[in-house]
Amino acid sequence: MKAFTKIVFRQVRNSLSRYLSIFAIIALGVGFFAGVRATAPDMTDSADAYYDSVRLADFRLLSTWGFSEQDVTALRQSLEEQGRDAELFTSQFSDLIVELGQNETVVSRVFSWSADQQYNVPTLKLGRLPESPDECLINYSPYAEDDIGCTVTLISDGDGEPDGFARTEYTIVGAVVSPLFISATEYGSTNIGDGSISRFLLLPAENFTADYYTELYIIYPELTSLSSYSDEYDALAEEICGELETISETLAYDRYSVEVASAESELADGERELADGRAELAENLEELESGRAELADAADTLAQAKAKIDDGQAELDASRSTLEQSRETLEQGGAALDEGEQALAAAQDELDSSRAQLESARSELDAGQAEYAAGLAQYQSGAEALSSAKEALQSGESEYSAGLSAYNTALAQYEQAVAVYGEAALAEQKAELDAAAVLLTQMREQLDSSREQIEANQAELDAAAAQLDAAKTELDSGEAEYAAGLKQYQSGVDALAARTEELAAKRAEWQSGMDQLADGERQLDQAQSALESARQEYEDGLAEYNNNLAAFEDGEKQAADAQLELENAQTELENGRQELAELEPPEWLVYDRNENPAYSEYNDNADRIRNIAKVFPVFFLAVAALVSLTTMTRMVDEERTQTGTLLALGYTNAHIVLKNMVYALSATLFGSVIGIVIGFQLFPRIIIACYGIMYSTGSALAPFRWSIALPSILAALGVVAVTVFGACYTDTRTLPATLMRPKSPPAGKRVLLERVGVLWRRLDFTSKVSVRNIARYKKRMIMTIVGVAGCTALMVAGFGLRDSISGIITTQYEKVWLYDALVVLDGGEDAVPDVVSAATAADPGAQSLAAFQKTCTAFGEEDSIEVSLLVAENCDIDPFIDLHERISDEKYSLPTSGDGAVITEKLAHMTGVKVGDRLRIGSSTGDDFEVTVTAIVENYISHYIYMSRECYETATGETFEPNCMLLNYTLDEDPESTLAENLLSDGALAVSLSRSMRSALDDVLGVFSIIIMVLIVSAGLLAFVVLYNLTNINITERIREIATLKVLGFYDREVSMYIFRENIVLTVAGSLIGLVLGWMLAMFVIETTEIDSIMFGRDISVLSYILSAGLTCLFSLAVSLAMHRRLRNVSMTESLKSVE
Amino acid sequence: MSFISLRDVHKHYGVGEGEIRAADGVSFDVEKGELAIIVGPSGSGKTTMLNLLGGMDVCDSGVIEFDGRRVDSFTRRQLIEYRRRDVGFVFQFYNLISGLTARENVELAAQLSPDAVSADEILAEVGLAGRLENFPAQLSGGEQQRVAIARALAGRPKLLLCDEPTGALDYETGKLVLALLQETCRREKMTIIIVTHNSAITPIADRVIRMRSGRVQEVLLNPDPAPVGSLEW
Repeated sequence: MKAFTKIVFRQVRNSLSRYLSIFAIIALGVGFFAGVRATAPDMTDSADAYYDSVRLADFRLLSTWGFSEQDVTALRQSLEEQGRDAELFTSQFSDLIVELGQNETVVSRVFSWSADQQYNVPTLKLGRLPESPDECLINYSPYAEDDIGCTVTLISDGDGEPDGFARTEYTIVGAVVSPLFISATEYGSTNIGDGSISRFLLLPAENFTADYYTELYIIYPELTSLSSYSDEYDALAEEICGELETISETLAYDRYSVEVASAESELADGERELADGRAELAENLEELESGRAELADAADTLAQAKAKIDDGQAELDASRSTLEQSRETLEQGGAALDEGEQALAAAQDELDSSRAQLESARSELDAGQAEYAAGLAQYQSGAEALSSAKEALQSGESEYSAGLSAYNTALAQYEQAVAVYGEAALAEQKAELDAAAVLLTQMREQLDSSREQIEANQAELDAAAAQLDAAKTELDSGEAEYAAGLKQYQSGVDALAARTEELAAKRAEWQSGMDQLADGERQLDQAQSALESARQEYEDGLAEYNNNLAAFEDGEKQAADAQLELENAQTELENGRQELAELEPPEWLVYDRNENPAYSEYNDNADRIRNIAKVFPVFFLAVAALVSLTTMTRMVDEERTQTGTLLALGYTNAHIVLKNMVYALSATLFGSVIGIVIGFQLFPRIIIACYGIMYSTGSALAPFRWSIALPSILAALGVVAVTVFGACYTDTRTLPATLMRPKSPPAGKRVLLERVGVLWRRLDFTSKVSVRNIARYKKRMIMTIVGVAGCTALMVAGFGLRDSISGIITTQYEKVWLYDALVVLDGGEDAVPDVVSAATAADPGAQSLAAFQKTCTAFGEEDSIEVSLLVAENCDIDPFIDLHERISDEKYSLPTSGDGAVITEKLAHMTGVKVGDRLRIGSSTGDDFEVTVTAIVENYISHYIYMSRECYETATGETFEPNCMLLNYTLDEDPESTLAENLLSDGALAVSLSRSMRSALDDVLGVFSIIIMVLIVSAGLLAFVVLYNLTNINITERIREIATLKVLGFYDREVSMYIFRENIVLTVAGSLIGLVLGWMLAMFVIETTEIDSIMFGRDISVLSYILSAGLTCLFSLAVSLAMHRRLRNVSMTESLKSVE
Repeated sequence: MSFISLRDVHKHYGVGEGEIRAADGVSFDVEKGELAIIVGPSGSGKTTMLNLLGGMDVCDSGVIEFDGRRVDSFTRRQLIEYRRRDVGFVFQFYNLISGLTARENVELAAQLSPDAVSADEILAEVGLAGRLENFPAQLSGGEQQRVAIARALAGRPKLLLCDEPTGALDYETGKLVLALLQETCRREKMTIIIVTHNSAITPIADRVIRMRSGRVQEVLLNPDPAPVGSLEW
């Protein structure tokens, strides 16, 4: 046995390249097989580990009413009764439009967060966790670094200012990934903004001020212990979900009952209060009425009083005016009296002064008289004395005559006066007159005495007489004057006395008048004061009345107010009752993890990889098996002689088989193990890393999976064992002697082609030779063709997948979506002119179309699909979105009548709807409606329903109101971003530029490209190994033939061509078959890997076919070049050797 | 100057202990139109001579002249052209391409030479006019060897090298092949060198070169070669 072992070892050493080729192809095949197979479980396991580590909740509960503290307590209670371990967490969230930094406005879902959060724990990727309530976290993105430090402002929750927040401004301090947002790009939909959430924010929980919770999360440890995505998990989750739904229904109804009861009692209270209010009001009204009557009476009384007072006043006034007149008269009389009295006094004074004058005149006169007398005496003495007495007499005579005449005059006067006054009254004057007469008589005597004197003393006496005469005249005039004055005085005194008397009478009269007046006045004053007090009384009464009136009016107003209030309360109550009647019980919605689209999408992706794993690796394994079969067959052939010898020496068939088995299986085992070890790490890690761009599912786990490794190794070993056995089978059936003789080379045969003389003759000689050779080595031909075809097919599938994916972005953005920007309007229709003017300012040729876009649900036969409904303002949608059929390129326009709609291809496919069918559409904000599908158009990204305004209005009964605009313009990148900024500052809530959307999508789909590149590279590698192996076998098998050709003088190139022509033909043939196979494979792979929201292209570009075939040929050429060197070195002496 | 002339040709295989001196100072001449036989036991170096003469191998030292040209200093390409134009080979095991018919096997060589004889003609010459379309497997050993000879002659080589042409053939067939070679030599004035261990056939040659252990033992000139029919072995 020792020798036998040696033979085996030597066999390996001698044919190391063959051994290695088996090793390599098996390593490749099994590695790929196992690696790709392990990818799907690795994906789900990685995700599961991640979910467990961040405690992704198993269930999420929403309520149409939110959850009150009581709800939560009740639920907690129910969960305890459920008999399962469960952890319940409360949370808040809200979908808001927020402003990020300066001018980016985005739709964001805002969650509560706390540092000790025990569910859906976010993983910090950048920055730090919030330390104060005004700090927040944002979703991690490639641009997260720019976000950190920015201020986030909560702007609106769709209806206006967001409420329920302690503050609206936050500073972003960190970027996180959250298990709630497994998809790195799609955050789900909402009913505000453009309907899709583009960011999420985590705010410290204390900022949420609402007194209810918006969502609840439940974690079941028993679910956590199961692997997410596993059937066990799904089954248990479904069971628990059912239980939760039952609980929810009960609790929701409980809540409803409680609410209804409290509302009822509230309403009853309200009604009671209303009734009370009504009664009170009625009472008040009654009181008011009586008040009103009282007031009216009071008003009457007052009016009468007023009239009376007025009359009194008038009377009084009249009296007073009479009095006044009297007084005036009196006063005038008084004044006259006073004047009279004054005049009297003045007259008295005058009289007195006259008297004084008179008296002084008297005394003067007297003195003068005396003097005169003296003088006269003198004179008389003189007259007596001598002679002057005559003269004195004469003068006295004259005087006497004068006096007599005066006397006569006076007597006349007197007589006159006596006539007037009577003698009695003129006694004095009589006396005087008598005196005067006496005097005159005296004088007469004197005169007579004097005449003698006068004559005696004429000269002297004449002088004295003259003097005396003068004095006498003077005196006489004075006397006369005096007398006159006296007389006057006397008469004055008399007049005065008369007057005084008169006046006194008048005064007495006046006085009585005055007394009367005073009396009158006193009476008037009394009357006045009586009137005044009456007036005061009246005023008081009026004031009181006014007060009462005001109070009454107040009361009236209050009553009116109360009435209004009561009516309002009534309406409110009625509304309340109505509301209560219409109040639907709250709905508690229980969601499992599948609610999160990305959660199941990730699993779908894992399934896709699982599907790929069903096809691609099997191909690899099959090709590997084929290659090892050829290799082993060749080896067995080569060792024919040795086999014969060994058999002849007495070794059994089993030994022979064993020897080859050991050889092949050891290579297979090593290859499998190495392949699996590498494959388990390489493929899952690459693919998970690729999906990591789209899904945040934590770090990749790539455990060694015995469940895949063992079957893979066993399959490889089994397949190889069968091939080895098959290869040995013939030998073991053959006699050793025959074996020891050279195996006759396969006989040349006419090929079918020769029978087609026309063709055959046209072939040049070398071609004929090639055709013959190909036909001769049928097994190798089939092997090569199958191998090459397989590799080409794999590459076509790979490239095709890449085409179908990368092509869609180009087609979508260049053939379908022709618009350059989609602007979400800030404030609906009003913002349209702003946007238009901003766009035309940037590019005068800019075009725009107002539209209404909403995320809806389309109901298919089985599935409901999330779609975007786009309603164009007019039918001029062409320049913005090209509606055409994918294959025929036939253009469609939007229907304008009925409820027609144009839908996208994949949507039609998924809902099973055809042109002319009806499609039901639901939305989160309105009622369901139906449309008639009028055309199905090419589209790859998302699903769309396009409608014209008219059809939309017909179908939904709602009024078209634009909320977004499509723009078309010719702008470079920089002006375009300027335009976007301008739009955001005026008129736009959000602007999505096709250019940037496209590059973002490119990034996402780039992931697929990498996976595909892995496929392509693997396929290429396989192609290379296969070709190398087959060519190698070909050469080894035909080494004598080659040596012979060389001896015959074939140039190196000719020798190579002799061999390679066959290879070329086979490669080309294989490639061609591979192209067809590849197309089929590609279609299968595309259909299995397609994501729901994206339609992969069905067109594989010619370039991909060319590339696949070309690469295969290139590998073939590379192999040929390598082989060419080997052929060059084939020794010609081989030709001389005998056939072994 | 002879048509073919070897002077002090050395050829060693391997190194050290295992060194084999396959040609250890070989010198001989062959004239144009001669039928020469190199004869010797196994390991005498006769196959090495064939390889060197046929341009399949190059000597370590010494001079090999062919028709005035130094074969020993030929480049790889010159050697290929030499094999292509000037030399024809007949192998012990015929080395026909099994996938080709008799005619095609001849054509395979004929297409290499611009002044080649038509395959049908040459096959007729070797007496195989009726088996043109047969595959090697359908021919007897002698017939196969005749096809091989036809193939070797098709390019009208100046030298025909035959390696044990009768080695795999039975007596009668071998004689027929030899006769064909001798006839060809005479008729075409072609230089033919046959390498064989079978001394019995030496009488038919114009020149016999005996070799042993890498050296030329003797060169015998036979002025009157015997006809093939007279041979006995």
